[in-house]
Amino acid sequence: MWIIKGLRKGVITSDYPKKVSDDELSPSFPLKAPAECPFGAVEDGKFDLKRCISCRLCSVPFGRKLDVDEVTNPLNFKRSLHVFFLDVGTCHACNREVAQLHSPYYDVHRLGIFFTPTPKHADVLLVAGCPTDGMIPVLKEAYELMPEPKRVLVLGACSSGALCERKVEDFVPVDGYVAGCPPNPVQIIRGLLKMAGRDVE
Amino acid sequence: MKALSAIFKKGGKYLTVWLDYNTGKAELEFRDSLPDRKIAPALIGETGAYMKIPPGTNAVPLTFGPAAGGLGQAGAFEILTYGERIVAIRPVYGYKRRGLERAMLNRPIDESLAVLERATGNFAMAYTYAFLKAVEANPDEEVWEVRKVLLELERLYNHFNAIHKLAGAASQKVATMHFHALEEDVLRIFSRLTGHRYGFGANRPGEVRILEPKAMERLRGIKEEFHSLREELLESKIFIDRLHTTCRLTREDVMELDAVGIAARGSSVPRDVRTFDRFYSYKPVTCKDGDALARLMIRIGEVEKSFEIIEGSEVRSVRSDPSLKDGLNLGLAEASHGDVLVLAELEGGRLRWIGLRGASRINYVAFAKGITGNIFTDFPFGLESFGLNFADADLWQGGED
Ligand code: SF4
Ligand code: SF4
Repeated sequence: MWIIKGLRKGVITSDYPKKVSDDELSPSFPLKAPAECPFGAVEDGKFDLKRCISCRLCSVPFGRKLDVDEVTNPLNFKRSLHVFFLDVGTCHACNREVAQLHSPYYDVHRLGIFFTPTPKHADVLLVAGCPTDGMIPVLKEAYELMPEPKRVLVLGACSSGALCERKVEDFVPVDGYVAGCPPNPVQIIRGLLKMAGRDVE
Repeated sequence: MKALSAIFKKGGKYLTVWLDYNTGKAELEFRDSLPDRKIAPALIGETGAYMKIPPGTNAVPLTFGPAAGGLGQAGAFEILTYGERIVAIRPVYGYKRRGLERAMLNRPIDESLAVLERATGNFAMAYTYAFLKAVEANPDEEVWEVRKVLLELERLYNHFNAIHKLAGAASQKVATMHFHALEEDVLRIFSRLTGHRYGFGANRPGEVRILEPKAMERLRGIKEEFHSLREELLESKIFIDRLHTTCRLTREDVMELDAVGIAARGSSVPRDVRTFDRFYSYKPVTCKDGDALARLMIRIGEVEKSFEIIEGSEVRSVRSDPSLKDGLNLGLAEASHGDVLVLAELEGGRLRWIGLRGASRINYVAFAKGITGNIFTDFPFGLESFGLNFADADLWQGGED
């Protein structure tokens, strides 16, 4: 019976990276640089998207945006990518978005992306949250345990210092970020593909 | 009987909140020492007292988490096993202490709310509901009607998530995927309705902001799909067997631990703050068995009730008087896992002090009680049946102690 249910539902998996639908992006991203931000996303007149919590309290237009990441130091992989997810102090929404990567809607296995239960088998440390006292040693240790070549991709505004005093890059070298609060699953996939040195869109 | 609902520190004393779940009457009491209730240490974030190692045991407890062990979040349990059996266990709090409570203070109230939404993202509708309940001076019926729908939608996706995780723990691979997809379906409705997948930005003083009311039409398809999945899931004997008698809480356990929400209702204690919420007319779903299956059946019953509540309301943007009350005020909301409590002190329309108590802070202790004596392989079934998270458990207070 489950098989019939599955067939009836048809294919629901995202077409991303070929194309992205409106349903896969929430319209909460600033489309222009605001002049001021109460949460520190504007400093010395410069807008820093990675610190924007998408609160929509500033007076700029908001909408859907896929390109909310920056990867400064990608891997050059022709093979599958292994990822260890580490929560260092999230509100749990980022965890839910990462978990959705395994749902039939996003199914990252189709893209050769696999999550590992230990940093020892990971190419990428995917970190979300404000680093708390209890998680800083865990973050450092997870990074140490990873084999070379290794990269760190941070997710979400609070990992870049919005809302809290610390940021992930204070403790481990960061090679890229995906902005958002939380980032949408397709945006996370985009960041991971870029980190693997693969084509996006 | 009154339950001990929260403890904060204020003005050099303990500030305790007692709640009568029959009438909704809350009592605040300042005292010098912790009250003599089992849950009291957990309410101030200390759980060492719950680790009861049997005399004569030389085994050393194992820590499960905060990164390893598959919890998927920054939290941990200290566990002592004898062979396969869990002999003693406690949740370890503190890994998620982010200090967001402090970040909420002394700002324009819209900003405080934006921070509050990011305290526990998947219960944001519940926390903003409770906060605005506490502070709005002239609550408007029409605004609250829409907030109620958002709260019920949040319940839907969280209940679907809990069922997805329970099915996953039992290796019901197809069912777990279907329920995960249903969770995403509701998040997509949220995204269209509010511009945000978790509804951040929708609830503001005197106002509820809706961008695309038409998105609610998708709910009909979700309801039909849920009905068909429910039948299928409950026919799986393997699945039901894994939940039956697992992680049992008796009615006495609930009363002793002041447990809330689904944990209480699963053991026939009808604690549900919607019962006395003036914007609801609600009779709680209860079950008497107290096991993981009872908690699943409650979720299934509540999904149905949420659909009914949502169908009876119109979702649209509404604006009313945004005035706020100064002073110390309390608000409650029934989230998908249990009630969340907000105690807010405003002065000149700004937040000066805040106390937050999530259901997770209490119910992790109830889970630990229920799972003691079970075998370790039952751990995920027990845990997922409560639908808790550590971001919620670690919330506490901001402002002077
Ligand atoms: S955090 Fe809010 S106010 Fe700041 S830039 Fe982002 S949307 Fe605008
Ligand atoms: S970035 Fe936003 S959504 Fe993600 S954990 Fe931080 S507060 Fe939550």
